[in-house]
Amino acid sequence: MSSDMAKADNKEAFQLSESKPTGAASIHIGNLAKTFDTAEGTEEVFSDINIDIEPGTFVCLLGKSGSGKSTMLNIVSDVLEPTEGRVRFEYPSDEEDVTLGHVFQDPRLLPWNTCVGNIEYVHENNPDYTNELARRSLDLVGLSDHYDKYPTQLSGGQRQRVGIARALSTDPGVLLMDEPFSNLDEITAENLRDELLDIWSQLNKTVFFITHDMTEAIQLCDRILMLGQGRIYADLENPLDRPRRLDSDAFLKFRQKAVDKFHSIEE
Amino acid sequence: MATKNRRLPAIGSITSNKWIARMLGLLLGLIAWSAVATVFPNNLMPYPYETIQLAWGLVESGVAWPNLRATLLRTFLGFLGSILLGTALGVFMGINNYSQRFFTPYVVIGLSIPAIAWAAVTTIIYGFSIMAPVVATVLTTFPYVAINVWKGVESLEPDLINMSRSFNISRGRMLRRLILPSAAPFLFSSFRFGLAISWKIVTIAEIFAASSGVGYKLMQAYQVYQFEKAWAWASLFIIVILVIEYGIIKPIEKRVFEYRHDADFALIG
Repeated sequence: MSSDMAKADNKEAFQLSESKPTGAASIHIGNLAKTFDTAEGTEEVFSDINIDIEPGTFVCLLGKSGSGKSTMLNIVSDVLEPTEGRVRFEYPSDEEDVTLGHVFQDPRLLPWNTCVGNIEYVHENNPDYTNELARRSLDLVGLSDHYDKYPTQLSGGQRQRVGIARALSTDPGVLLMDEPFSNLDEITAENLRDELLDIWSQLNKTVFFITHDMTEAIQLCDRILMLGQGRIYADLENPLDRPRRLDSDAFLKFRQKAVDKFHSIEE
Repeated sequence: MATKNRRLPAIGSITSNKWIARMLGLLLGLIAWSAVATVFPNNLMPYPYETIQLAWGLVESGVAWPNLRATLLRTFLGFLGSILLGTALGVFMGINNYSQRFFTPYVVIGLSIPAIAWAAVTTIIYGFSIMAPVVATVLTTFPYVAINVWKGVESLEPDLINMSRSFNISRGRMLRRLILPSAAPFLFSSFRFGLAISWKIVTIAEIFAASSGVGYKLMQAYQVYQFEKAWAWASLFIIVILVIEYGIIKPIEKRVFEYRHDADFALIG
């Protein structure tokens, strides 16, 4: 599968039209706070979060269960309103609105639609959509032989590929990924991580990736943000060159440093 | 236990052909009918072949078709009205908590009102017009459809709604592409059920307020003690319903649920 992806030269494939160049957007999270009203009063999830992410960066947000990762992603995805602050997306040289591509933990495919149909579904407001775009997106994730298959005919890894293809097909400036590989077996997850890096290097997208897996974070990201106790308590640049070998000394050394940092705050 | 196990595949291979299974079921029904017919007087319960002969006689004399057509038209209109009203109400109740609480009592009341009460009321209101059986059918059937569709819409995965919201999908598209397909199994069972009760209600309404139709003919036969004729009319209608089931509903169902049948040979890997 990996070789399928590598040989696909799709750098131009994701220009939806000639006039709109594919690009990566920057993310600016300013003074962000979220509180929930509970029976006991208001509960603060996080406050005063300030993050700026450069276009084309692969960022991981790491946190333990209940740290507010999903809340953060939901606010960034515009599914949830923040209590304070705002999230802005910008193309470096363009005034245009930034499209967000969403990849979920469970691929969330319509079981009654084929792979192509699932991609077509999210292009309601795209007058330039053709099934050719859906097919090209599926080619990109190595599903060239599965255009007209239904999700029930695919393996878990293939379904998640469709989820990734669907997000990429919208030509997003930012790809938001919510633990996309955590429900897959390790071998499949490993393959998909490699393929995601391939695609990322081809398409130059900003990726905002939520995970609780340190090895995954270090393998994938340029930058690791750690969320806990209602704040970003660590912001690490990943010094490792790509491709990254999981068993290299440098990898293990940086991983240890990151793990120590991760556990540096109380539960 | 061992004997049982050895027999199972044999039964399986006979019933594996769906048409053989259907025919066997039908044959058994005819045998049971014949057995009962030996007990009762012939004009009260004729044998199957006599009933078929009588029914054929009705077809040949040209009486059958105009009456069947009249009943079918009323059934179809009543059924159509009830699925439109029932589906709309069911979807509304499924997606909106307020309307669910608002309408639930009406649906429950609707379910408990006997068809014959609606038939009597609509006859008084509309007289012998086609509206009487049609409206009675709609009023009796739509709560069944609504309650099924409501449960179907409720069973929708919230994750799929969230996914659609993330991709800015409009409500109309969500309804067409997500909510209705998700509720499709419930829609089909309610449509099938709706059609079956629609025709029964039309027949009852025709007894009251029609000068044509299967119900009217049944009533006529009953009044002159020609029970065997009533059986003939009923069997004609059964044939029509079977044709609708196997000629229309099942093929549509098969097409709609194509994606599920494919799950049987899902790929692994």
